[in-house]
Amino acid sequence: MIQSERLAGWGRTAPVTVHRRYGTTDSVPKVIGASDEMWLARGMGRAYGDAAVLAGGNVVSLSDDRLIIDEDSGCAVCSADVTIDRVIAAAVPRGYFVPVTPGTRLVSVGGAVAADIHGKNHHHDGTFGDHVRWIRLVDGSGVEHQLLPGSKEFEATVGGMGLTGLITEVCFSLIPIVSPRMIVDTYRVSGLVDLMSTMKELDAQHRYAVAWIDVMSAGAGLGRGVLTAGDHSSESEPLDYRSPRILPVGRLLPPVNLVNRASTSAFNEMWWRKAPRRRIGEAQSIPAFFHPLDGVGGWNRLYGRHGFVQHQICVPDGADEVLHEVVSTWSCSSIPSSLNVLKRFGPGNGRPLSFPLSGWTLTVDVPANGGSALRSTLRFIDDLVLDAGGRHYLAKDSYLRPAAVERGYPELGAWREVRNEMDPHGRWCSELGKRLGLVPRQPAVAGFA
Amino acid sequence: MDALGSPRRVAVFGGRSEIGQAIVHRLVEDGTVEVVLAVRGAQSESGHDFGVSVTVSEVEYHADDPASIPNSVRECFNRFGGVDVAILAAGALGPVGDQLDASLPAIEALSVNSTGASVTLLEIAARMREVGFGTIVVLSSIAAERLRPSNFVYGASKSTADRLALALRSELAPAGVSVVVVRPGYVRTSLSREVAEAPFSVDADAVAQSVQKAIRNPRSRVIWVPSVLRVVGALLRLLPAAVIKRLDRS
Repeated sequence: MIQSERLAGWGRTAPVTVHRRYGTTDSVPKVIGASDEMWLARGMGRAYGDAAVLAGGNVVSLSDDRLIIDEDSGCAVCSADVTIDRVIAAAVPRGYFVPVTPGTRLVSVGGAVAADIHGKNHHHDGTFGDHVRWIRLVDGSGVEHQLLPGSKEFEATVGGMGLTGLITEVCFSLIPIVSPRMIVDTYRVSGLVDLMSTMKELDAQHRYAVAWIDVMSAGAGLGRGVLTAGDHSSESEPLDYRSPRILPVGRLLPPVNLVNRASTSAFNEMWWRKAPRRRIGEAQSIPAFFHPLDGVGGWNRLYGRHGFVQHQICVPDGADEVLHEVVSTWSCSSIPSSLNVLKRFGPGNGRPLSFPLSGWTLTVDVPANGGSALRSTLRFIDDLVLDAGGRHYLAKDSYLRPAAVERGYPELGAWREVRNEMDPHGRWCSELGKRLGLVPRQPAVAGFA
Repeated sequence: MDALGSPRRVAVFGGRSEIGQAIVHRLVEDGTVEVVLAVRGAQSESGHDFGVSVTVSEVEYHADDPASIPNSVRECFNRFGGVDVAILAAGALGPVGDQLDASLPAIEALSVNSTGASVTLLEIAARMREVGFGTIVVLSSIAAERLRPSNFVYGASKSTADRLALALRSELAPAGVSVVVVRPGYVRTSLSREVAEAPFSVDADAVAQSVQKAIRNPRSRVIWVPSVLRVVGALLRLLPAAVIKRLDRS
């Protein structure tokens, strides 16, 4: 089935028209093999920018929905379209949990591999790709391959933003659990210095740790936040789990930007004050701890028709002062922001386009209609980050230029060589790939040349 | 376009136009890194420098040869894998004064400003509609709004693409493509040097600034440079032909 459709990323910025296709792992390789057009895989569309759109090209989504939990070997084998949500729902009753989950469970496993996603446990468990045992992938000629860790094709595909081919099937390890509950400690911290030092301490003690940070606060309260650190409960109990219902709030919102300086200041104040100063050992459900935003379906519509930018950077260890300066810059700007996250990363995995580096990562959501103030703020922060040896997360990016990625990802040249070997005719492409120069230059619209 | 509304790839049809180049200089401030100049006598290495981070490429384009235009437009779109902003800047001044014969300047003006610009506009529109994004900037003129005896060929030829662009707005809006029609008054450039300077004259950068502002918030619109010309244009529309003729001679 092919249909013309307007598509954008989760940030709802820069929509384009694509030829939308749906198929299975049996049918899609044949179509691609017989085609000379451009293709891109799209999972749940949760990449924030233009990673999962291709203007005028074929955007294909798989609909196999195959999942096997192998309790003996502790791994999951699934088609790439299966979501983390579905894996959790199938694995928890069998005493397993996904090795890594991002802030939403509504991402596909194929997308998780392509973006080499990280979670609250990066300092402990690394990225999702670190737990993948093998991948099946359709290359630019429509031929399917099995990729194993260590091969250059595997290393280029994990974090490769879907530009090496279509991931069709993934096998990955699960982690054993004995309870569906999380035991969580919460701390309210009044400033950035305290927040960073407390996070460093808690990382050693907990598998999961993350902080909400108020980047609009100033003075002594600059970078105040609420830190949560948790672990799976070690007390055996029935492994009941059901995916919670999602309230379709987004569709009820008016098509205007509700995120402004007044609303975000009020929200940030309320959110910080409602957090306990110190609460130890609270039992929380998996969705409450890992995926609080998933309860609000379509929350991305809060930002109105112009959408929003999620800016996620990491700065390496030893550059703490750069993080201070970044937070100060956000604070001094007049840009409203509420959904912000600070986290520590463990060591990177060395894959050419994998994002995490040992250090800090800061994620800030801002309305995209910020005009020249937003542009100049981002430019200033990006220079700080790149000068410090940091980088940007490609799954979140929606505005960078090629030079920023060349600087942030020194192995980009080597990655391009492998990518071009895997897809010599340049069939796999995305707007992100074109914008950042990740793929060779292509005609504007296949079949139009 | 990126998430901030900044164009990455810009094509200028009539790439030697001073106004077109002034717009590119402005857009580079907003993050444009790839520029295609559609020009007569394209060079493999463009001599134009818009900054160290900008790649400039030239494509052969003959605005007075409608049959060759589709190829030129396709080549411009393929050069960097698409175009975010297409600037239609090709123009010819036409005969100065009230000559009635079909002189060479008149033929050139009609051919470049009218047929060539219209064909280019339609080709750009088709390509942008296919991919579902983009902004088309049509450099028109206040002369297209109300013809004056002293430059009626120029005004008439400009009005064709101007009206076509206005008509395309509603066709392209559902596809996510916006059309900006720019109607400056007298712009001080080497092209206009032979014509006496008129009231409300501006330099090319003033036009560029207005276009930059319009592109930052993409939606179809008509912009006048300077903005007071919107009122002047409205008044000119209402004036009887005899008054226009008298004003033109004064």
